[in-house]
Amino acid sequence: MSDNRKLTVLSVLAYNNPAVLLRMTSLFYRRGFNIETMVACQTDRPSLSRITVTMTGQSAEIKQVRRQLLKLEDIAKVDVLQIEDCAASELALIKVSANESNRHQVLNAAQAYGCRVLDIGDSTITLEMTGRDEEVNRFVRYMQPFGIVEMGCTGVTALQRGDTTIFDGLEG
Amino acid sequence: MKLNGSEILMECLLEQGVDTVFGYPGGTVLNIYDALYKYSDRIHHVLTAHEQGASHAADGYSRTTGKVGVCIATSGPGATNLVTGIATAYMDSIPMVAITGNVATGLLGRDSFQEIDITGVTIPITKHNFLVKDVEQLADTVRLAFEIAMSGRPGPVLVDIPKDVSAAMAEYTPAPAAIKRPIAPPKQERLDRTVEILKEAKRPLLYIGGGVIAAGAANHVRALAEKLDIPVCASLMGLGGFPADHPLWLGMVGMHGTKAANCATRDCDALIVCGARFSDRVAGNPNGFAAGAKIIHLDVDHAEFDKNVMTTVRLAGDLKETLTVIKDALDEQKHPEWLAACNDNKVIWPAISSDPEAPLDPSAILRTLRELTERDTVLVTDVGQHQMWSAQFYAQYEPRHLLTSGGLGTMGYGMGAAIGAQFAKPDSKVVLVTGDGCFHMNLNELTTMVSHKLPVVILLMDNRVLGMVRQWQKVFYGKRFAATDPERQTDFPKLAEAFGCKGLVMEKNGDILPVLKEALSTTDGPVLVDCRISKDINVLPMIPPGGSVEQMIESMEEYEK
Repeated sequence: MSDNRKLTVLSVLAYNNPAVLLRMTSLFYRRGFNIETMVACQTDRPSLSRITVTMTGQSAEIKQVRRQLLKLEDIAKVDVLQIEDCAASELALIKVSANESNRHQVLNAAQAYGCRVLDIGDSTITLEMTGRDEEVNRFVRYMQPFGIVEMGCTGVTALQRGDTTIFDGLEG
Repeated sequence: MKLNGSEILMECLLEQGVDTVFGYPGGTVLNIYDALYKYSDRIHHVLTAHEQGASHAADGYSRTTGKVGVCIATSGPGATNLVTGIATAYMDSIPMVAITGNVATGLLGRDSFQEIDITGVTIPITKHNFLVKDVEQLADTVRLAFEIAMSGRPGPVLVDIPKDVSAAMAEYTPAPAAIKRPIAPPKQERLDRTVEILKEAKRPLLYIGGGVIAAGAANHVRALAEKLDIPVCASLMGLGGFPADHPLWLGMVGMHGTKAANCATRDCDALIVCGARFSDRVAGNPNGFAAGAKIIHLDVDHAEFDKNVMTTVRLAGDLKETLTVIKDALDEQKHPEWLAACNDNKVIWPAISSDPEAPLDPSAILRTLRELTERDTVLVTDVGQHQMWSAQFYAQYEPRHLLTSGGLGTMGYGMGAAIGAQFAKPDSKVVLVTGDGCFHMNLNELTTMVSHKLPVVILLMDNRVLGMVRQWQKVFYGKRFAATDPERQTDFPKLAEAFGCKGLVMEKNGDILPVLKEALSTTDGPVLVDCRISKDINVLPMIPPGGSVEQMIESMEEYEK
């Protein structure tokens, strides 16, 4: 979860080799780079993984992060994007306490925010919210008075808007 | 041809032109040592006393030759003992391939005997590392390790080979030696901007670092400096990148650098930085460093740009090519007033005392050593006061003749590095300048020097204290000498003799010449010279950490007032 500072997205394309995430996180740690979120997944190319990192640093720091990342042998490409130039989304699972008296209110709010209801327990409801980080944050804030029992969040994953892709200009 | 993994490793080392490796055997590298036995006519394995010595020897071999240094160690403690040497090489961008054994793949991850996750341990201190789990991948992995180690900004690469992989059979197909990856040239508009800045500059200055030596660009620096009449200073790692007897030479820059070099960085209006990284030992105050200058930064590593000091123009690329393009784009220049101003700040060394009873002075030892030794002498240092005295008083004329741990500042580096240097240049004199603190760390390698009859001259600056730390305690900690006066009773000449090494003593000024002459003429093995100096001699000048030339301490007496 991030606050309202401007988010920069680093879309990292990495070769699917052992320890590539360890190499990246080790770099962030030892150079003191503060990251907000980090999401890794496979791409449609089996040898390549996509790691989406969000940061709120100054542009000089972001440049340094990009240059340092590109020194890692297993990293093929790093695109630096502003969040507003991305189709970006994150997913949150929120378990809210809901008794008979407020269950309807919770379900109405879920509907209004476009959430999916994943589970209804005796005293809780588990909701799935997807959207931009600020939308997710807003929804979480709205749910807080009901009592959030627990929650999990994926962090941001993002694709550049328009027809360009992270594979553009990649060798091979 | 079917070979086992260890034989494939030997073939791949031979492909890369490796004929000397430094290492120490152990359980998980038994297969590899069995292959070294078989290949002993083509690959010379040098056994050190400790794996750390092997890693520094590979480093010293690499710094002397420019080739990739190779060291081998067993799993677990063998591998972790390499760590300081790998980190030393990483910080100074020295190409090295470290080969470690590991437990068999089936035992990995179970805390097996002598198992350590050495790839995990070395991620922050290698350019890259590999755990080879399949013998079919071994040859290409070793080839790639050499390619990575030598390409771009050089550095160490570790290849971890489990015991079953070094035994498994696979088809070996020969391949040519790895070649360096191509380096993209800088952007034209940035070159144009550089030329504009240098055309207008009235007070240009060159600041060179270890990158000049790594790139083989010393002659290109000199050509640019001479054509544009630009004075030159260097970081510790850049020493030898420009001849110290050249009229444009200002000396070392930074904390213990010359007044001339540090004043020039303050006063210049254009600073051309070649293969240097504005370390905190050079740019103590990064915001005030060369504050009045447009800074042009040439480096092969993009990540060095604007890391410590913000620059005006960043020229990524091969130093030789970039320097040539800049030189060819400009007409000859002359800067007589600027050079005169720089020269005014040069401090002339006082003559060496002719009084034979005068106390022993390290600068006199090093200056006399310089006079007595050929230009191809390799000077190796450990870390501390003696290292700075070596940098200040033993002039460097060519690249690859000063081996010193600049970035990591590794006490104990020197013994191993001197072994590597002597194997690299068997016909040249190798002199190690060390201190009693550093020597106590890795003096075990005396045994390696004796076994191989290496005629290394070890000049031990013996002040019985941990001098550099003590100096800081003197200046910044109210003379509270915590743990820097260990009151050790080691008799160094006797210790040398116990190892089978010659031991000499230097106690006063009059001993310098005869003892140095005797030491340098020893050819059948190492000789240790115990130079008994006062513990109160300081390294000066000194710019306090975080400071600039305005705070430079030139005399301790003045400072203490």
